[in-house]
Amino acid sequence: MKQLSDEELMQTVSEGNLDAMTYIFERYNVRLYNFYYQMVKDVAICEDLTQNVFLKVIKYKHSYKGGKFASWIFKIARNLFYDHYQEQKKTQAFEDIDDVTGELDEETIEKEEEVSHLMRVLNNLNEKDKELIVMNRINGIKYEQIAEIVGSNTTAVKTKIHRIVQKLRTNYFETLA
Amino acid sequence: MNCTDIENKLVDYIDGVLSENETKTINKHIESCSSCKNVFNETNELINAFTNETVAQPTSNLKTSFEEMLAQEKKKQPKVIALQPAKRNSYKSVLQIAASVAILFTGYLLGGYQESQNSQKEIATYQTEQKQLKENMLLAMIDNSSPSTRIKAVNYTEELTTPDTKILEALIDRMHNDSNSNVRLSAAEALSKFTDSELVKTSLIQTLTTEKNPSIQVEVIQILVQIQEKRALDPMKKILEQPEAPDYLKTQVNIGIAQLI
Repeated sequence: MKQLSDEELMQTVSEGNLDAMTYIFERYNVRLYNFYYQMVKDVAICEDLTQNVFLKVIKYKHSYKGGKFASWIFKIARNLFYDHYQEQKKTQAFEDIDDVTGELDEETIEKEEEVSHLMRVLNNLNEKDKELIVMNRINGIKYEQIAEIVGSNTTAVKTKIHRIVQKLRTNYFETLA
Repeated sequence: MNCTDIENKLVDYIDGVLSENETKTINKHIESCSSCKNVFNETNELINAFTNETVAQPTSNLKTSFEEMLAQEKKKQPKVIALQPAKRNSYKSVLQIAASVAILFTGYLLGGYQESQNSQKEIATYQTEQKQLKENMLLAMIDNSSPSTRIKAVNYTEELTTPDTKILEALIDRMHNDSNSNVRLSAAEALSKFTDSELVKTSLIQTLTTEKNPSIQVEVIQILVQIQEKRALDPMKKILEQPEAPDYLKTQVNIGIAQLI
């Protein structure tokens, strides 16, 4: 089964062979985890979200109708992230807990030595921009595929990402100590 | 391109996905424009920072909980029908539903089976037809007036795993009677693939006595030695007696005789 492509593996899963999920997990868990980790700097939440993606893949296995598997799974990952984000917003309104969406306040950032300067700058972006740049530059997903994931077209995605890079560049060097 | 155009293309420039021309233009521009050069250096550093960002690794909890989840999902799977426990008053109708599902399913399986049977038959017929067509084409080509076409036809036969007698006879005919020595040689080479056939063996032995072209003789000797055909010994010895046979042919014959005995 190791030689199968992602698409073939998913086909096997949707035919009811759940064992193929193990291979999909091996191929995607670190990528998905990293996607979440750049958005939400919380190990437990990221692991939860990642785990949920795989659960959703199994639940929605019949709705996979071929097509690029990476795009499909990242679409699921993204939806889960936004659900989580909305949920957090609501809870926050009532409980006023720490911001868990990734916008860590300055103090926390200073405490965490492993947070790089790049990450600090990334955290100043809005969720949509951050997501695009993370998918493209950290997860290494191509413009065409991101367009598929976010439901846009390649040119628009590319222009958008290039603009985010320019915005980041200014912030990055302005705040560089 | 002005500075804004350049700035807009910098990411692609750093990713190395621009055309050669665009790359050259930007190279030139950056050399002469210090502000763009600065923007380039900064963008490049930023992009590298992304590449150098360490990959975060999930803890082993993720894998453990994934495996638990998978095991649970697997357990759920075959029990889909059990989700509707048969209530006493409705168990008859459940049976009815089960029966109709079974009938439907059997029908579906039968249909699928028949269909696959039919299509297998169709494919088999199609394959036979295709083989026939190929063979007929080969037979037509093999009689073509152009030697190169004949060689092509001869070479095509090597693709056939089990050519029928008609094809073999045509090849033998080319090996014996073609006026062009290259066609005769190709035919001999093609026949070397089908030496399981007695017809081919005898025809190759016969070639030894009739063929006068040394390079074809050498080829045929090699084929016959390869399959350890002892009946080739006599005609081979006869070649040695021929005064017009060149030395290299005789050497080949001697080597062959040594390997056969």
